This record gives sequence, C-alpha cells and structure tokens, in this order.
Amino acid sequence: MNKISRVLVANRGEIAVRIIQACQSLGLETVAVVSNADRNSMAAHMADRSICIGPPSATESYLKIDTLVAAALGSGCDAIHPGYGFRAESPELADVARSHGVAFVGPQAETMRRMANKLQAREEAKELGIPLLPGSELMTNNDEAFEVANAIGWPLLIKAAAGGGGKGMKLVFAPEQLRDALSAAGTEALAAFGDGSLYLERFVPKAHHVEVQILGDSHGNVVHLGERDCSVQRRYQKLIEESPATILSPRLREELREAALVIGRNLSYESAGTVEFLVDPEAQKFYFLEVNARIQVEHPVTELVTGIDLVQAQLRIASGEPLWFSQEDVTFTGHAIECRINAEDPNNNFYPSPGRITKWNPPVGEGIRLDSHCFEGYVVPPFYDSMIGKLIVHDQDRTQTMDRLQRALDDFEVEGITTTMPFLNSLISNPDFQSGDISTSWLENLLKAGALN
Amino acid sequence: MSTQLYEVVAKGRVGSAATDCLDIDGVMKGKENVPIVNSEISKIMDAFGKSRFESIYLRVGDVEVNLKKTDPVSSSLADRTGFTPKNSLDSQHVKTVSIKSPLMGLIRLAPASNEPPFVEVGATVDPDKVVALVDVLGTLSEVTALYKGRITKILCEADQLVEFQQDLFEIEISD
Repeated sequence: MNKISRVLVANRGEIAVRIIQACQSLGLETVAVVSNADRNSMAAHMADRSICIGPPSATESYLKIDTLVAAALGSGCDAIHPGYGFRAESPELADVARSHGVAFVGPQAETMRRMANKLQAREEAKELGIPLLPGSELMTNNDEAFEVANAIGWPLLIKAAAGGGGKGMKLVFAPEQLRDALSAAGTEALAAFGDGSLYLERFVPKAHHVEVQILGDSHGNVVHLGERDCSVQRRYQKLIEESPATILSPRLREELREAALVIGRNLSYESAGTVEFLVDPEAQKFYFLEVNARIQVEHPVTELVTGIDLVQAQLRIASGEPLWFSQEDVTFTGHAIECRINAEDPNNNFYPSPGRITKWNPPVGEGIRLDSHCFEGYVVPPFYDSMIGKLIVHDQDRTQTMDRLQRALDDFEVEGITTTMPFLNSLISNPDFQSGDISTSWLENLLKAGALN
Repeated sequence: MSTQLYEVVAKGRVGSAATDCLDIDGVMKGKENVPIVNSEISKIMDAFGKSRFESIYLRVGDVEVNLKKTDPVSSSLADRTGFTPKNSLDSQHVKTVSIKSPLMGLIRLAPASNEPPFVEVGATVDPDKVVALVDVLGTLSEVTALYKGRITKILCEADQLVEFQQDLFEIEISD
C-alpha cells in the first residue's frame, strides 16, 4: 500500500463534494472529473483541479473506466474514490486502477465480485450460519419456478442475481402472476445489468430494512458502527434513513451486529461496507439480504451517532493505515435521521423537476447537517439522478430528532425547482412514522391509498 | 478549506469583475504543484483578452504570467497578449476556429516519438487530415481537422492530458 497524496474524485453531485471535503480535512489534493454538464459544479470549483472527461451522458463520461484511470494518471493522482453509484462497485475499475499503480478507495475487487452476485452472497451467508429468507437457487425455467414458488409460499419477490436499486425486482402475490412477472423481471434485469438471472425469495409484508455499517482495514480488523433503519422506501429506493433502529430488542441488535461482523471477517473486508438485513419485528427475527461494497448514500446518520467520519476512514484505510480504534471505542450518541431531497414533483408522479435554483436558503443550527452540491443559481441538469441534497439531523432521541428535522425542513427555502421537501415533511409527521409503526411496504401502501394528498 | 490555489492580481476598469474572475477561475484549476501547461496559459490569455482588466499577474508554482493591455480599447490586443479572438472576421473575411479534442486523454502530436508531427504551424489541411491522436490507456483515437484550411497555432503540448473538447489547434478556414 502506498501513501495517498492526490485523489481523483470519480463521481458528481453531493458525494463528490463530500469526498473533496474529506480529502481536504486529511490534507489530500483532489482532482474532480466532470462531464460537460458539470463544468461549473460545486465539486469542480472546490477541487484543486477539474478535468472535463466527456459529454453529459454518463456512459460517455462517469462510467468510462479507461478514461477515469487515464485522468488519474494524467493528473498525477495516486488514488480514485468512486463514491456511490456509477463505478462504485466495479471490480474492473479497481483492477485497471491498481494495475496502473493507482489505489482504489474501496473494497478489494474480489470482494466486489463475490458480493455482486446476490445468489453467491446468499450462499456464503448460509455457509456462515446467517439466517436467510426461504428462497431459491437460480431460476432456469418456468416449470421449476412454480414448484419452488409453491414451496417458498406466497407472496414472494422475484430478484435479479446481478441486482441492485430495485431493478428486476417484482412482488408476486399469486401463482397466476408468476409467469408474466418472471418475464418482466428478466427483461428488466437484462437491460439493467446485462444479466437476466433471477431467483425467488419469501416476501415479509411487515418487515423493516435494517443494515449494519462495517469498516475493515487491510490488516484483518473489522468493526461495526451500528445499524440504520431504512424502511421508508418507494420503488425499493430509500427516502428516509435513521440510526439506531428502534425496533430491535437488545439481544436482536447484538445478533444482527455480530452477523454483520461474521460476514465482514469472512470477506476480510476492507473499507466501508454495509450488510443489509430484513427484520421481522413481531417474530424478532432477521434475515440476510446482501452486502453493499461501497460507501452508501445514508452513511451520514452513522457518522452523526458515532462521530466517525466514514469517508476519511475509507481514505486512511486505502493508504494502508490500520484501524485506529477498536470495537469497544465505538460509542453511540443520540438519534439521527436523514431524508433525501429530490428535485421531483410528488403531485405529478414524482417526475423530475430539473432547472435553475433561484433561491437556496438552507437551515442552519445545532444538530443540522446538509450534504449538497447545490447553490443559488445552480442549474440541476436533467441527465442524472434527481437528488439535490440530504438533510441529516441529530438530537438526543428519536422524538426530538423528528421535531428538529421537521423544523429544518420548514426552514429550508428552495425556489425555481419543485422538491420533495413538503412530501418528506408529511411523511415525518405521519402518526405511523412518529410511532415507528412502519415497514418496507408502508410508503407504497400510503401512496396507493392516496393518503398523502 | 483548501489552501490558496494560485495568485492573481488584476487591475483596471472592472465592468463585471465577478464574471471576469470566474472565467479565469474556471480555466485555472492548478494547485501549486499541479503543473500548468501552455494550453491553460492560452486559456488564461483568452479570458484576460475578453475581460476588461488592464493588467494581470498570475503565479502557479514556478510559472509566472504577466499580462498588460497598453491600450485597452485598441484592436491590436493580439500583438501584446498573443491572443487571437476566435470566430472573428478580419478585413479579408478569414474565419479562425479551433479543432477540439473529441476525448479526454494524452494528446499525441506525432505517430511515434521519433517521427515528425502530424502537422506544423502553416500546414494546409483537409477536413479528414489526422492532426493528432488521443491516447486513453493505450487506446489511440484519431483527431481529424474537420475543416479545410491552414493551421495557425498549436494550442496543446505533446503528451499532456487534454480535456474533452479542449482546443488543440487554431485553424484558418479557407473556402
């Protein structure tokens, strides 16, 4: 491992800004790669240098592995931080970078390969004795699917083996829907991942999505930084995340964290990663879902309750530093909630609302953090995802945190584009969310019932 | 916060100072030990030429750039700054445009290090004439002139990293 001194930021938006800030705190220089649409982005201005790598289309810019590595070499960078999305979990980027002597700020390529295939991840978890939802092997034909589906029980989820972000995922309630759903999921998975392989998994209607943050170094140390509850989802995309998860009994919390460590140690996990579980609060049981081998969008809630900067940690680990704290040193203070603010119109089917931000007046105060790349006058381009920022709030307990978050959302003035802020505020004030009586289906059900209008 | 990236002292009539500064800021993303290349200096000259500043001093690492307009309203700006306004028509209606890089990568101005360059200043070229190669991790892509005309300036330095759509050559178009 080499010492890192200059980092290529291979991403855009808020995470590019976040990475640059972490680098600056560590005294590292930064080079931002930008598409033609992002030449005037906040990241481009903050970085020590910016390099335009291609046209707006991500496939011609942020996704081009050779271009990213050539930009790193041509600008004297000794590391690449991929952020999340784009090439964050690409073993190919890690391999090409490392073969040119450039460190990849993330897990080993081998770890990413093993965890990218969800069926292999399930198999590895099973061998480690981690509980899994009843599910199938790879589906090869429809007749077999019916047989396996009946054994698993209904409703069930069809999932893509190469999956992520909800693509290729279909909820099936009854046998007569299975054939069409399999075909639709296969087509979607093939389009999204170039791999149409599917498997089946039992669907738990009242489940919570709970994930454990892990951090490992190149010396074999793996610690956990507690868990996050990310059950508020729309189309399998998380909208609100919090830490700690309040539905876990102390025993279940310990078991969940330990299971994540077992998986992390088995992978000799390096860098920041997330082990995702489904929790059935009534039965107080948990089931392994998958491992996300990257820094996640929702990492700030963990940072606020632990006081540990995860992006700085990634950079230090990538330069070969052993973890500078032990599990016993990790303490948890208060409660944190993050909501993802999108330039979308909830009253018009969540259509994106790109355009110029004519007013940008974010809330400030104790316990309020905003991770964003936006500013007054910034034009939200139509080419990328619509997230314009993450508002993260920290306070002593869940009730106080919810209050503080609502006030922060009320105080946040944005004009020129339509945002999901009023919608998020209505979710947080909803009695179900206030009491914690939610599940991964909660928001979809509310939207179907038109209860938010 | 990052340390100071570079030093700029600009003096003169300031019409839209913020925009002028921003232009130079947009060009200059070099920290002290990120080397500044000739093409970046020409961009700075470009920005200075368009600005209403009368003089500018710029330092990046070892490189110092000192520019002065002796007569800010004169049309002979190019003589003093080396800057030729693009897309401008002179008395003979000759149009000057730039050949831009189609990709980000290392610019190769010759087919190989021991061979003569594809073009030199003064060369007349056809639209499909290869004027450079862009090297992305060993994969070479051709840059063609796209215009029929005469190369008047080389705006990039051999084997340096060029950005997507960076100006590489100046070409005087002939009809």
